[in-house]
Amino acid sequence: MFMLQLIFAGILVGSIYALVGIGLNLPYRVSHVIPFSQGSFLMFAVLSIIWVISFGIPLWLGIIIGLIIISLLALIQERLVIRPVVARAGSHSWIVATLGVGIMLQGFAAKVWGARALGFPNIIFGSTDYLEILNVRLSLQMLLILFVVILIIALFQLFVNKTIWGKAMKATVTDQQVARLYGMNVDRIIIVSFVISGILAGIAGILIAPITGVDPAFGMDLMLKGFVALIIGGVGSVSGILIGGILLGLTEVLVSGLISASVKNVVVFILLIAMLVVRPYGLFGEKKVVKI
Amino acid sequence: MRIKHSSVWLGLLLVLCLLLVFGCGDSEQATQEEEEEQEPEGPIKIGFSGALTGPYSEFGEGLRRAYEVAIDEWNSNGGINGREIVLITRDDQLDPSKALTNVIELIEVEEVDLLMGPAGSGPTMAALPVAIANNIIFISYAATDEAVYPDGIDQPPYPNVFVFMVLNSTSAEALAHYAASNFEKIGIIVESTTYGTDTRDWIIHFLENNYGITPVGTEVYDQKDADMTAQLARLQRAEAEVVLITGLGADAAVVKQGMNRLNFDAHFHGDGGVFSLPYFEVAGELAIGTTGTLPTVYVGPPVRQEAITFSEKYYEKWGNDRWYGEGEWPPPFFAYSSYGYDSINVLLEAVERAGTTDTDAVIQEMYNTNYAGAAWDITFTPEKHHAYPYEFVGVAEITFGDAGIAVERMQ
Repeated sequence: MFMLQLIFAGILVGSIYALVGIGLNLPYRVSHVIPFSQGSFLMFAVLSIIWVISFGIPLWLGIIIGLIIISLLALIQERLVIRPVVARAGSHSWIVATLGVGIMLQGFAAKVWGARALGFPNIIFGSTDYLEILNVRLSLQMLLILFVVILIIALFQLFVNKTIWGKAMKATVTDQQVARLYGMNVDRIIIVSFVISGILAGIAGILIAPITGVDPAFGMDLMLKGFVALIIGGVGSVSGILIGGILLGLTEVLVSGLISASVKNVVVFILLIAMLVVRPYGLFGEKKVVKI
Repeated sequence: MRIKHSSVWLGLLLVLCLLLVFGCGDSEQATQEEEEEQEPEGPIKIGFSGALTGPYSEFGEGLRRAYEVAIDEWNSNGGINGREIVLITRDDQLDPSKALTNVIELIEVEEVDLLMGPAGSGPTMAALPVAIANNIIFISYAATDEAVYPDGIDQPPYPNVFVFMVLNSTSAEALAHYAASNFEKIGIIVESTTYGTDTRDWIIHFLENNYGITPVGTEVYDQKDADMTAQLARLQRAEAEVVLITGLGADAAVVKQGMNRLNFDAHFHGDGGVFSLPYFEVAGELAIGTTGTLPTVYVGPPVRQEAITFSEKYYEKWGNDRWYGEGEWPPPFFAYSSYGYDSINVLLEAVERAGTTDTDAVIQEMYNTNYAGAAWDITFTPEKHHAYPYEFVGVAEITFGDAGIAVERMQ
C-alpha cells in the first residue's frame, strides 16, 4: 500500500515535469535554443488569467486571453531577444538572454500583482477530488495532467506527421539550409515553435496552479525539473520526455519516501550528471551526426 | 659681562613663537574637540535595506510603509531636538549579497545614524557583521536566534542588535506546547529553508526537554513542491495524531490537500503561514479546522487600543493596500507591519532620551524602554534583546461562519 502510494505519486508528479519538458523540447529541436524563461512563462500565463477574470470575465475566456498573451510574449521574445542575440552574439548567449527574460517577467509580475501567492480556480476537478485505485487515492487534478500530456503527445505526432506545417518543422529540424533552399519560411517556422512552446507553458501553468497556487517565483523550479526530464528522456523524443519525467518523478518520490526528502535533489542531480556523462543524448534521444 | 641685545631679542622671539605655537595648538585642539562633541547638524538619517521589489517585496515594502507612518508623526511634531527624521532606503530583494552591499553603502556613503535591518534571516546574517564592526544600532527582523544571540538565547546578545520578530525558538516553543498539550503522537513537516529546519530543531528540543516526547516523524519539503505524498505517507504510517507545519501558506495548502487525499485525518497545526491568504485560497474549505500559533494582534478586531490606533493611522496614509487588505480590520499578517511601526518608534524614543545618536548612549536608553506598542508592551534588558516573548504568541483556529472563512482566537 505504502509503495503503491509512492509509485502512483511518482508517476503523476513526473507527468508535470514531462509537460514542462515537452515545452522546452520543441524550440530546441527547431532552433537549438532552450527558452530558460519557460518557468516564468508558466507563471505569467496564470497570473494574467487571474487578472483577467478579476474583471468578471468567465474563466474559459480568461484562459483563452491568457494563452493569447503568453503567445504574444513568446513571439516577442523570439523576435526581439533570441534572434538578435543568436545572430550577433553567437555562441550560447541565448542562455543568459532567456534567463534574463524570465527574471524580468518575475520582477514585472511582482510589481503589478504583488509577491503574495494567489489561488487559481479549479479546472474541471476540485483540489480535493480523487479516484481510488487499489485502495490508493489519486488526485483527479494530477490525473488530468497525465491525460493532457498523453493527449499533447498524440496531437503533436499528428501535427508533425500529417500537416504541412508539421512536415516543414520536421524538415527544419533536419537541415535548416536545405529547408530554406526548398523555399520554406524557416524564420516563421521557428516563431511558430516558440509560440507553441509558450502555449504549452501556459497549459502547464493552468493545470498545476490549482494545486500549488501561484506567485511570481512560480515555475522556475518546474522549469529546472522539466529540463532534467528532457535530458533523461532525450531531446527530440516527445514520448521519451514523458518517460524521462516519470522516471524523475518516481526517483524523487521513492527517495523521499524510502530514504528522506532532504536528499532527493542530490539523487536527482547525480542522475542528471550521470546521464550527461554516459548517454548525453538521453534514453530515447537521437545521436547527433554532424556532416563534414 | 655684556650681553648682546640681538641675542636677547632672538631668545624672546623664540619663546613667544613657542608659546604661540603650543598655545594656539591647544586652543585649536580644544575647539576641534568641542565641535566633535557637538551633534552634527542636519537630519537624523535612518538607513533601511529591505525587499522593496521582487518576489519577496511583501516583507520589505510592508515595513517601509509602517516606518513612513511613524516618521510622518515624528516630523509633524518637530522631529527630535529640531532635527528632521529621514529614511534612506535600499532595495535588496531579500538577496544576502545585495543586503551586504546596501548596508556598506548606507554606512559609508549615506553616513546613516541608525540601521533598520532586512527582513529575512539570510540577508540579516550577511549584513550583521558590517553593522557590528561599525558599532551602529541595528534593528533586526530575523527570526533566527543566532542573529541576535550568537552563542544561544541564554548567552549575551550582540550589544547593538535589537530584534523585533518572533524568534524561531519562541515560535517553536509555542508549537511544541500546543502539540504536547493535546496529542501524544506528533509529526513534523517543515520547508527545507533555514527558517524551517531551525524551527524544527527547536520544536524537537522543546518536545523532548519540556514534555519528554519524541516526534513520531519529521519531514522536510522544498518550497513550491507540487506533491508531498511521500513525506505525508511516512507520517501517516507513523500514526501521527497531529502534523505540525512550518512554512508558507501555499505549501501548507499542498500538504493539507495531500493529507485529505491520503485519508490522513491527523489534526493540522501550523505557524503564521496557515493564516495567510494563499492558504485559504489554495486549500479552500479544507482550511477549516486548521489551528496555528501566531501573534494574535490582528486576529479579528484588534484587542489592544494601540493596535487599533496604528491600524487607523496606517489606513489613513495607505488605505486598503496589499498589507491592510480589503476588510474593515487588517489581516493577521498585518502584525508584521506593526513590528515595523513599533521598532522605529522605540528606537527614536531612545534617541530622543539620549539626546544623541551615539550608539552606546542609545543602547543604554533602549534598556529604559517601556513602550506600549501596537503589537506588544516592549522592554529590553542587557540580557534580553528580543521584543516579543513567548507570551506574545497565541493560538487561533480557522472557522466557517456566516461571513465565510474566518480566524478566531482560541483560549
